[in-house]
Amino acid sequence: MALLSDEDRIALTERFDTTLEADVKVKLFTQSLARSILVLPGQEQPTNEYMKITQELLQELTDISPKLSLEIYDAYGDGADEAKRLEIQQLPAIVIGDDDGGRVRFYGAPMGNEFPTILAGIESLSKNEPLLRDAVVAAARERIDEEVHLRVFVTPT
Amino acid sequence: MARAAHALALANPNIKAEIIECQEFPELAQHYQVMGVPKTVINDRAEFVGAVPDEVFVNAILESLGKEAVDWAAELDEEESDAPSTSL
Repeated sequence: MALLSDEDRIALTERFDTTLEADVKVKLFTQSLARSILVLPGQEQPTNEYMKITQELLQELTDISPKLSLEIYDAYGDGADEAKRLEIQQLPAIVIGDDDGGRVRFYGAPMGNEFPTILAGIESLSKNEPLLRDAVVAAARERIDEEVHLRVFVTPT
Repeated sequence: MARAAHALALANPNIKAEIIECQEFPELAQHYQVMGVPKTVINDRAEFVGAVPDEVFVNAILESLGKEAVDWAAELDEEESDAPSTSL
């Protein structure tokens, strides 16, 4: 069953018509289904279900607009080099955009409250407009001249 | 805070922003002692819980780097004086 309803799809199609400009690449780091079902009885990990849901959700989302594309990497298979290059530490990982550092990322399924966050991330990247007041953007650009690693912990509801 | 973190990363290439879903990564949440969300950790050095205005977020980052915080009241005054006056 689809994760996005027909109504969601229609609403998102209309929304993306006005909010997307440049193409945006979304990268999903996961592990292959074949590998993820190799679990011993009694040791099944809920993570596998999260990976499946995340992949389905991103597939459905990126299918809505031709400006969006999804690249799927098997972090333990042929995507291992890219996962290493971007220092992917957890699976599933979602990287929005194609910058060298993979600086905008999610660890986990972007469900519930985090679904609007991933939409906002995609849209602001597409328009090349950070969703911040001009003075905040200016201060962040001028004054933060060292590497900063932000981790924001969230729950889906 | 998730949106603001991503927005700051888009604004400045020095910034990397990760949103971490606690239920999927309980060990990581435990490692960072997440008791409430959103919890924001800056360079493993500074942290705050809850939503804060973007201006406060930027200052928290600057302070964690040992830099002077922005005097937003002064910045905002400047912004207002640049804008055409709407008062009569």
